[in-house]
Amino acid sequence: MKLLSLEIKNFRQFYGDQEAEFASGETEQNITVFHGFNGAGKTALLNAFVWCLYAKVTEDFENPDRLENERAVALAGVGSEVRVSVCLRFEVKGEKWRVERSRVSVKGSDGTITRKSETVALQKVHSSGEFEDINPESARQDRIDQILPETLYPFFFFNGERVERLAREDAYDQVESGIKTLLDIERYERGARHLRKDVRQVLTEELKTSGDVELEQAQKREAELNRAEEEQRSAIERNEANIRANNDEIRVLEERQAAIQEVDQLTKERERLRAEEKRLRERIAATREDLARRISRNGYLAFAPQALDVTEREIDAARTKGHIPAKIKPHFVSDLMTDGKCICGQPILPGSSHEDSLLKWKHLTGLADLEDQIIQVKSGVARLRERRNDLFEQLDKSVAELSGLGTELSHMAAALSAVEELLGDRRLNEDAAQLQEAIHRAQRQKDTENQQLGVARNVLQQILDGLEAIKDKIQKFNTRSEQGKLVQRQLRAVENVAKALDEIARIQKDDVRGALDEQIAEIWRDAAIRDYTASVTSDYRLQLTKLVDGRPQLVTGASTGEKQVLALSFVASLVRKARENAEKDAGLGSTGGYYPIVMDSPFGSLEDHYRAKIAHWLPTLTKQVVVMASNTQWRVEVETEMRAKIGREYVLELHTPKPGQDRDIDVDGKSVPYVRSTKDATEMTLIRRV
Amino acid sequence: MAHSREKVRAEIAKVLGALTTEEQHLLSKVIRIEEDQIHLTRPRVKDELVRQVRLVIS
Repeated sequence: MKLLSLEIKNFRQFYGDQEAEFASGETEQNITVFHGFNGAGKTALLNAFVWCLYAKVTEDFENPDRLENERAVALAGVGSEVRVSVCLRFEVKGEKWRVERSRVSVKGSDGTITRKSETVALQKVHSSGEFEDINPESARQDRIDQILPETLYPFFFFNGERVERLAREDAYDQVESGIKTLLDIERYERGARHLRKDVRQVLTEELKTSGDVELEQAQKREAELNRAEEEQRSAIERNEANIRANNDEIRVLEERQAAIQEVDQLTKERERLRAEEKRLRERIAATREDLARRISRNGYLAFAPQALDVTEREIDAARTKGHIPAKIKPHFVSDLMTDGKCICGQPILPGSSHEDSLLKWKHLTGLADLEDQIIQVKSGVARLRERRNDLFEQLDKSVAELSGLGTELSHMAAALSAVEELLGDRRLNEDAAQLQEAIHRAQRQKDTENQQLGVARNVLQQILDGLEAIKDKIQKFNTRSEQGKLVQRQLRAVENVAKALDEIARIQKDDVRGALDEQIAEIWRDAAIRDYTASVTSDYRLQLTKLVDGRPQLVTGASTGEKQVLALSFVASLVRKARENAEKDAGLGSTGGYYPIVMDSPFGSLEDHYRAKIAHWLPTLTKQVVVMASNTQWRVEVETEMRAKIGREYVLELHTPKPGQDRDIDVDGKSVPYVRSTKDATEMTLIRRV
Repeated sequence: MAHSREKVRAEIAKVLGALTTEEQHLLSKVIRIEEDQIHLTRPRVKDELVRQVRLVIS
């Protein structure tokens, strides 16, 4: 999506018709900046985009129902109409579009206004300049949503000061959904779901008409299992959501507790013990895994002694009987027979006693090959005995280690429990104790949810096994009719394609997560002051970690500024990934796309260092950047980084009835009106191109 | 990053390679329907998917 221009009429601070065009994003000068004094309409401008596209405004936009410009209302006569409109022109995949949302209100005798109508027009602009209306009106919002889904706008049109909410733990749903929609992963998941549910249902119904009773019963059973699977999956989702909510609640409660000075040492000790407990659990898991691997590889040796004893006895018996070792080598006897001359010099004549003796020897030499094998077996038996002894030694060692770790873990759990008990002691601190009680409650709820989750997962597995079996059974049915056979083939194809779509979604998600993780880490490494590492977890949480005793530990007390940098890194990385995917498809058609970033107050509360870093990174990651900033937000560092990349520059010139307020700002060496006192009774803002 | 896209391409090619030609055809139709008709109501998407299954596997 490339933004082309914005036309505003009587929208909040903007009186009459105002217009701005955006830097195209085709050159390095891809930034459009709007400078505005506090109250000049920076947030209103951001909301003009959002309202135009979705008939909504952002959460921080005050009086969202009153969009009409004060001056326009003041100048309108009683009973007259006041029209507010925003028209956005943009380009998507080479097609130009124009969307215009209008609201008409009527002014009452008491000066209030009553909304009369609200409409949206959507037109495709052809290269000839002709406009093609998208009709009916009810389809227009769907079409806009198709171009830029509503769920995505918080990633592209946002207030920089509030962007840190994306870095909050509870934002992962929004983050995941944004990633999936933006990078078109959703279509694979939706496709698989529709095939399995809707299409399969239609085809299965059709198959029933083939009239086979046994088949019908199997299909009935399959339908039951399908329903059970859906119910179980919903239950699992509920459990998982509850566990996430419990975790969030516990985290918030513990953060509040950690802020209480009197229990500061205790909360720190709790963190230390938890980290230690986690380390122990990881060691136990690794030791168990090692043990399992050894048993899997050499476990059979535990039952081998009898077989090894028998083998050795057989070899010894063969030796005792003189079968081995062979007394002479076979080629030696063969050579004598061929030469026809004995080693004593006498000729070996056919039928002579010499020939008889040699033939007997030759028979015995046949055991020489066996002897080689037996020697190998003998040494093999010895090696197996050694390995068996090693196995038992290792098993003893691992069991002892597990026992030690188990004891250590129970000590740790006891210490943790003691710390938690102290935190719950009202004599130490009443607030901390109350919080501890709430933490316990949430923990108990979480434990119950975890238990239910385990049961639900087992039940689901049983259902899935049953489904697998019944599907096999259905597939093997020899239906009588040709039509039945065809439907079975279609059902098989539907299942195979659904499985392939699942797999493709998984591959894409892994790729996106990996790419975002890499990109965010890179931006963070460059921007951050503190030695934290930024990453995206497998469940799409943005997180900061720090190394404690060589192990990464979650940072819980990151500052608002740090969270803003993390969230901005995420948005920028997401936009960049979408752009990369659009430029290089993975074999299934183009995914992703180009997206602009439109930010109000992008550098609001950030330190100068972070302002400079973000100002440096942003224009390199996305094709188009639109920034609304006050003079203070724009100062020095941002100006230095962004100046050379500005393609369009505007000032939101604020007109105020208060006398003596004239102010100018310096824009690239030129003095430009910023605030002007006027004789009008109401405030308004004009968009002036610099 | 380019390397990552190559890896994705190879993995997807492997998934597609395990399908029959008819199934591959159906898969691309399904993706197209889901892409183009993302905001259509569910019955309409269902009808279109069933129509394509019957058309491709016939």
